[in-house]
Amino acid sequence: MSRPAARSPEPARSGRHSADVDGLEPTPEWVGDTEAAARFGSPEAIRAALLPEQTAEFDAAFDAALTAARRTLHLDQLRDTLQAWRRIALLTHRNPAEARRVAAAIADVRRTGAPRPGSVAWADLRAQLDR
Amino acid sequence: MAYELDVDPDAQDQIRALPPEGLKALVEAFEVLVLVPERGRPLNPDNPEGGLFQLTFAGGRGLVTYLLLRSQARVDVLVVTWVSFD
Repeated sequence: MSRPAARSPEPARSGRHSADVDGLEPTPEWVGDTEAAARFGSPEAIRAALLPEQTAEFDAAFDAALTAARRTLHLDQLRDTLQAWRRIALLTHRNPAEARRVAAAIADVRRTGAPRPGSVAWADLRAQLDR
Repeated sequence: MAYELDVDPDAQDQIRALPPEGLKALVEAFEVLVLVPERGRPLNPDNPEGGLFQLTFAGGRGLVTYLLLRSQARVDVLVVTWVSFD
């Protein structure tokens, strides 16, 4: 099935958002990070934006990050985990159908252990692109 | 050890739609991924097998979402997101 590239409009590029009241937000690395932090500042907001098939993995990741924070007294893993899931929340918010497709693909690969039908090796795809 | 890098059908279309500067940056990012697939950010660091990762490229304009299957030395690229400023 052919589908368009996962393009996104230009996100807002303001400074640190007011939702980051604890100074916990890591430095933006992706152009969508500022918007994601603004829209999904709290773990509750992240979770609410996810599809049902995404929430179990978020819950496990958030629980592991909280445990790591308690054990190490460092917030790095918690910051990074929340930033990664804010991206998922933003992409899901923008394109739920695409997010559903990706969630199904992840489940397929984990269940079968094999690449999805139609997958190609990067070396082969690159050779096609170079022609 | 180099990892095998496979590209999901939908991600293939997304890669073909990248502008030249995005594709050039993606090629460089994939060169790193096949050698150090842990370079991306894990969505759950406590999931060592079948873990989902994100990797930014092109100065943060692109984002790759991939699965790392460590026991098979394989990376499955699932989504390539590109932000256009056009």
